[in-house]
Amino acid sequence: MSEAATRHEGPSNNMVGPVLRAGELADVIVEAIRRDNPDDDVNVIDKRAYLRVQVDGECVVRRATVEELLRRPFLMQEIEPILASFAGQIEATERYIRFFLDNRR
Amino acid sequence: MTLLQRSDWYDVARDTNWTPSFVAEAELFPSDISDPFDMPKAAWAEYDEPYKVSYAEYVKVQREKDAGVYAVNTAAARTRFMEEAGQRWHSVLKLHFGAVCLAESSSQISEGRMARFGRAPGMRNMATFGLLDEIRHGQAQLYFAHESLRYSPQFNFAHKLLGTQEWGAIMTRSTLDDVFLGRDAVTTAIMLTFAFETGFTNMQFIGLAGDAAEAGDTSFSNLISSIQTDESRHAQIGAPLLKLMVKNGYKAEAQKAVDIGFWRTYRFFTLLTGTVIDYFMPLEKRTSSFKEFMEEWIVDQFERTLLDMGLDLPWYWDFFLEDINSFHHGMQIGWWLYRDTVWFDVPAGVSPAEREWLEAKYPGWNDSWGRLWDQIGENIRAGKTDLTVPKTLPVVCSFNNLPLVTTPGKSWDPQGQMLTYKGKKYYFQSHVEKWIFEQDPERYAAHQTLIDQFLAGKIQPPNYEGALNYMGLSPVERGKDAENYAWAFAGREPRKMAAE
Repeated sequence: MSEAATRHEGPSNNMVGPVLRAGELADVIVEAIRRDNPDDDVNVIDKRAYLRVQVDGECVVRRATVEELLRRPFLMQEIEPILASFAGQIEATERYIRFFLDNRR
Repeated sequence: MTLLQRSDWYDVARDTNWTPSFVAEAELFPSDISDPFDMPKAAWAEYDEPYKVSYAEYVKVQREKDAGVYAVNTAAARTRFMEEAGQRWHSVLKLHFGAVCLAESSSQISEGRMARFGRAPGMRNMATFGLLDEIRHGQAQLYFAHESLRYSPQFNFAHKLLGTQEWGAIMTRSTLDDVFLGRDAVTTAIMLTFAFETGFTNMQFIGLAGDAAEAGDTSFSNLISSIQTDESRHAQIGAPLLKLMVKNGYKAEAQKAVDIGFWRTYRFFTLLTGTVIDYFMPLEKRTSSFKEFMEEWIVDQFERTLLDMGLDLPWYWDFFLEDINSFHHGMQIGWWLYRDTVWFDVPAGVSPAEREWLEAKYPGWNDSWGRLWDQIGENIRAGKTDLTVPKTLPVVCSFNNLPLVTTPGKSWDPQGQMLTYKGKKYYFQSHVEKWIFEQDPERYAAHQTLIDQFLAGKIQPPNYEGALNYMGLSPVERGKDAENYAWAFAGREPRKMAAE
């Protein structure tokens, strides 16, 4: 079977998560994601200008965790200036942002 | 005073679907421009935007973004990067600004349409912020391009291009008109915010930002990746719409809009991003090939999201996966051969080291596209640069306006890519373009490519020079080889170079 035919079945990966513009806040968010998803492998691909963070199926980052790391109050929308893209769907609330898939494969 | 959390008031405040008393609902939201599928109110009531923002939050965050963009630009100006960047990088910027700056204005109109005619209050909210976003994108990029005018008058095409009959401008306008200017609010949300913004702008605004950072252009890298953070938010207009369409029995309509929007957008970005990443970028600064970027952003990321919406892969997906190996190589030869018809100097990008890279990324490149460049290189080394400039215009796709190309050495079936409609013959780059045309022939039949305009007698005098003037290109604005043919002599005995 050709690669193209295999592809037509759709991708098998369930990786979701943010693509962050590189910088200090991005490093903090990555660390928060590691803490907020303790049972999952958190894969970070460094493309210099951006970091692609990948977690299988669901990836959560919580405001409280970011505040703990920054040692200052943090509003979830402060993440927007570095949130260049993301894989999966998003649920953005005041307490957390969640990247997820409705249908895992 | 303690402020309420956004979630305490947002649902109540956004509920602006009041019952109209002065006009009928159908007059307030005419189907043709609002929802041509007339989905029931109950279906629309399910629309829940996933990326909520209040106006106060929006202003605060956008101010911070702009402060960052302009602060970096000010700091970068002191590094003299542009003076030392070289012509290849300048060409990347000229191409980007020409194709993108005023395209952002088209997006403003599209967002405005969704803000006014979207049936769901959340959709209208998101689109209002999207409209403000697109104003920011147009203004910021025009500002950056204007700052670069001191380096070359070609940067003027950031503002000028889309008002001309230059062939790339015709292609861009045709794409934008079809994908998001000439559509109702629902179809715009699918084609623009989902296909165009969730899919392809990632490559141009994040992928290219990565290459720009490698090239040392921190200011441009910072500008375009900042823009994409806006896109990341307002691109979420389409996702909840697709979900409710699938759930309420409108999957076929949604799928068709995705299939059309995706393909038109793909062709646009193949020309814009594909050639830049694989040929314009200085070799040592490249982070990935165009194909690798496509696999990261489209095949892995976009395709997965598409399926999660409950939609299928477009019917032409196998062909698409093959096409990303070839089409942009043809477009690169087109840019270069017809370099005097574009507003930037075109890097060939085929020095021996670059050819090695291309062969590694696209096995078989040397035996196909490389053969054409072999002949071009020989002509240049023999001092016959006149043989590398076509004296007539190419045959172009009646639909996407680009020269018809096929991979050298591969069989080609043009029969399946033509049709006659109301007595006129139409030629298509592929069966996908032909399929889109067939979905709504009246929408596309009257479109005139540059060649159609030539044959209609609009270009006078009817020759190549007449065409260049018709396209709005004065002699100082017309493109040349970006490196004065040095690439053709790389790795060979020094010889006298032919000046263009």
